[in-house]
Amino acid sequence: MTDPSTDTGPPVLAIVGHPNKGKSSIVSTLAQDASVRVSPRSGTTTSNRAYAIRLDSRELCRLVDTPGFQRPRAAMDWMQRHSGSTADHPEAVRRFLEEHRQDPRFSAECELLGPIVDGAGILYVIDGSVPYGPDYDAEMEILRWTGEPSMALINRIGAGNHVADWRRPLSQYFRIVREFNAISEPFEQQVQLLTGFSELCEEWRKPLREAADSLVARRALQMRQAGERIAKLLENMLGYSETAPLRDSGDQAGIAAGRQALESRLGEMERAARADVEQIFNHGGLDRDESALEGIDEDLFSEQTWKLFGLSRDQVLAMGAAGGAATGALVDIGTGGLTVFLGSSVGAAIGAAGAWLGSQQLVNVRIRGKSLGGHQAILGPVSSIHFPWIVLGRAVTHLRLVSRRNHAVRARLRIAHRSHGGLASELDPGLKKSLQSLFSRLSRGRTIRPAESTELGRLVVVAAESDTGTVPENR
Amino acid sequence: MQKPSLLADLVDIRHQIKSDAECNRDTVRQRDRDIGLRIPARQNDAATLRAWVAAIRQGHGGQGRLAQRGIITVIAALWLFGLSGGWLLGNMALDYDGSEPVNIIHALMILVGSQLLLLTALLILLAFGLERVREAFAFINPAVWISRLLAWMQPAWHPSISELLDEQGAMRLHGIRRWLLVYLAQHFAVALNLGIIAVLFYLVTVSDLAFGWSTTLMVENQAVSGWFDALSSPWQWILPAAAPNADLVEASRYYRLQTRLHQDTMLVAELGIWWLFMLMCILVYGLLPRILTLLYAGIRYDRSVISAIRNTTGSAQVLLRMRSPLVSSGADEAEKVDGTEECPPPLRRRQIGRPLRAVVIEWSGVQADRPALSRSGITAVQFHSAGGKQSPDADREMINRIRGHEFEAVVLVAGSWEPPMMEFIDFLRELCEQMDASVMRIVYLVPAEKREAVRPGDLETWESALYAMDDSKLYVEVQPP
Repeated sequence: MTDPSTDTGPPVLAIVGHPNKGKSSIVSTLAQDASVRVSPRSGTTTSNRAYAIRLDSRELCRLVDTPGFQRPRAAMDWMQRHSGSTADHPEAVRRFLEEHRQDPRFSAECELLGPIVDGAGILYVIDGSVPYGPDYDAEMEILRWTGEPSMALINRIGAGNHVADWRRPLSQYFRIVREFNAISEPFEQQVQLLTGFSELCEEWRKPLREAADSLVARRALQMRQAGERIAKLLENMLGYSETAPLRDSGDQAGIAAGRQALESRLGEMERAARADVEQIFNHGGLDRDESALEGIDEDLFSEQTWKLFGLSRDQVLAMGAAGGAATGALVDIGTGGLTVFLGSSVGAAIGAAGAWLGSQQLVNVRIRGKSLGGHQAILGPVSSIHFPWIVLGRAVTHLRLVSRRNHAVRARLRIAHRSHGGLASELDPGLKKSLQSLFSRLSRGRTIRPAESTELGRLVVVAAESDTGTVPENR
Repeated sequence: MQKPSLLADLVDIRHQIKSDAECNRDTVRQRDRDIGLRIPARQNDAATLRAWVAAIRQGHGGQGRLAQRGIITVIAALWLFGLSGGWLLGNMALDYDGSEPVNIIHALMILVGSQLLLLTALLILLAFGLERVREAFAFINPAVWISRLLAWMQPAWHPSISELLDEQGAMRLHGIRRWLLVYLAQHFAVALNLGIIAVLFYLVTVSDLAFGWSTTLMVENQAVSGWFDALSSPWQWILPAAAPNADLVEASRYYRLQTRLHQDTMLVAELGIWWLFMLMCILVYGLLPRILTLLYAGIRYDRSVISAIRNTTGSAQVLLRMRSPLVSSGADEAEKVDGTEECPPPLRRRQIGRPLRAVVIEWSGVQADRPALSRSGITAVQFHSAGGKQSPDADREMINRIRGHEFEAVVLVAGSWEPPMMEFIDFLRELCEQMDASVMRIVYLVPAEKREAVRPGDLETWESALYAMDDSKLYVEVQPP
């Protein structure tokens, strides 16, 4: 039997257990790989599948998803008959493998015991939501016979709670017993579990720490990339305008068609950005429950969307006043303070009034005559002060959902609960002000420098990571 | 293959970033990280990006090569125009048929004065904004001609190059277009001066040039000598022969209606000395400033391209991909999918009629609720245990024990929450083989929680597994709640 302490290779962990106890879900969550076949049907995994965590080309650790035990009692029976003493238990397991490698009856046992005999640590997974049964004893005994370091993981798949019943038998066979829900455990707990495997073998501490740090760094990078993608979306959407040909300057149908084209194009931009964000977090091709997405899959220009993600009247007035006061303050400074804050006060009043009146208007429409005759309408950019906050609110809500979704989740994307009142109500005033300043420039059709775009991306990440009532339902 | 220029790299970087947006994110990430690992870490951003695009290009000519070739073609054309223009201009200004000397002031005005005027205009335009004043001087501004030449060439170029050079693109890209035009214009100017110098040498070598000066104004020779002295002050300390002295200035003065020259004071051949002065004037006031502006414009142009490379949209992401370690955590290979995941049809349901006399076997310690069994139309005549802690041999012995008894059904009670493992299927097969064909086989599923019903998904799992046994006497039933 290989002693892991002398093995110079990366730590290998074999995820083993009864069939249909969430082994693949655990692997999917820890490896952050949504391609793992996770099915409520038993026996989905029929052969070992390795998932390596790599830093560049260097493998830091390897998780092996294995098929569930199928005939543990018969296997145990064979081993007992071929073992003389406790000392040769690992040898009996090895001999069992050699003897039955070609035997279809024990294909599952041979497959799952293979990596363990080669020195992999054991991660034994059980479902804590169903009762313990004596049929588990044989497989736990086999695992003990291998002599490899092991840990039991209680994964509660269903609503029942039999964790206490499980602890006693598990602690007889395993030194370490932990609870871990592959579906709902947050990222921080996933990383903690990974580093926790080092309790199995001291030699694994460094590579596992490195693997955990790498996953944390990747998460930060993913957030940054997602933030930058959303910043690009904001740049594109806030500055976008559509040109529609008109029969004459009063052609309302032509204007309506142009408006529809504008809305449709903006919707496409938003969907493309969402697909990119999902891909960044390895959640490509997510299925979504539109009815449960409370606004983020609603039409961008629907009343419901504007109610959920738009600014409140007070927020509109406050933002307008802040902008006006800043302009008025220049007058105060210019007069050397002679105006005694009159500039700021008047500026704030004008700004607030302007913002309130401007918020009522959705899209700028300009009619132009063409040089060769005829007219055209230029629709956009969308001028309402609400609009950037709606786009940002929907994008941030989506980002939160996707970034907090575990890869074992196969259910549709949905929100269990979200706080109403728009994103602006959740953010601190400094962040709100910085965002509004960039929004104002973009809404006026001005481009921002790449450095400012990066800054906007950073602000989006700060907004997404701020405390929120939006909770993804990981079910 | 020629080393790509900065502009070629910029075009290729922009083009590559755009095409990467359409590619698989993971593939791009992997590629960029691989390149990043091969590039020295201390390189600056622009150098790193250039190395990145060079690695992707791998010697193949990208769109940038086209731009580079275009610029080289334009430079070559400008040199050709410049040299020929200089030759023609020089020929025109130094036209001498022996009837009258070449008017040195006239030649200086054409060959040096006009250039100084253009140079001053360029410096003013650079200082106060080329864009605003350019249009006003379009007719004499070589940059405008070159701009038109580039515009004329653009249809032959790739859209990414055209976009780079158009007005809007240039505005965004840190003045590349402006400095490119200035840089190209300096090439023309240097070539023009070299053309003039060439024709001067040619004329001096193959003909006799005589220079003089003339004026209608009442100007003293001494004053004119002072001007020439001032003009030649930059070189007279090193090349006194190229600085006309007072005697030469006086001797060179002529009046067309009188004797052509003061032949009594100086030989006509000596009037040719002026050519050295002329040459130095062109070198110092024509060629040298243009070489300096060429170098300056070249540096500014390079800087503007480097700045654009650094600030190209998407370049920060490229650098991030190259510099951050690539963390991957997926499967080594794609998962093999065995067959379809289609659910088999549910097993036939047993019609509950009169109570069945049955042997009940409880699998792996799962106990059936007795009253529920009755409600299911099962009257248990014997209870046995199998599975769980019991060995497979003990299970076989149990089957042997019940074989001789009279009963209508065997009910195998199992926990619905556990999927049927192969050892359960083995036991069931053996049981079926040992029993009389008329005996009904019922797998009776018990829920995990007493007060709850068996979950439909669990029933489906069991039915799927048992369907493969293809046994018409086999039924799967759930314990009624």
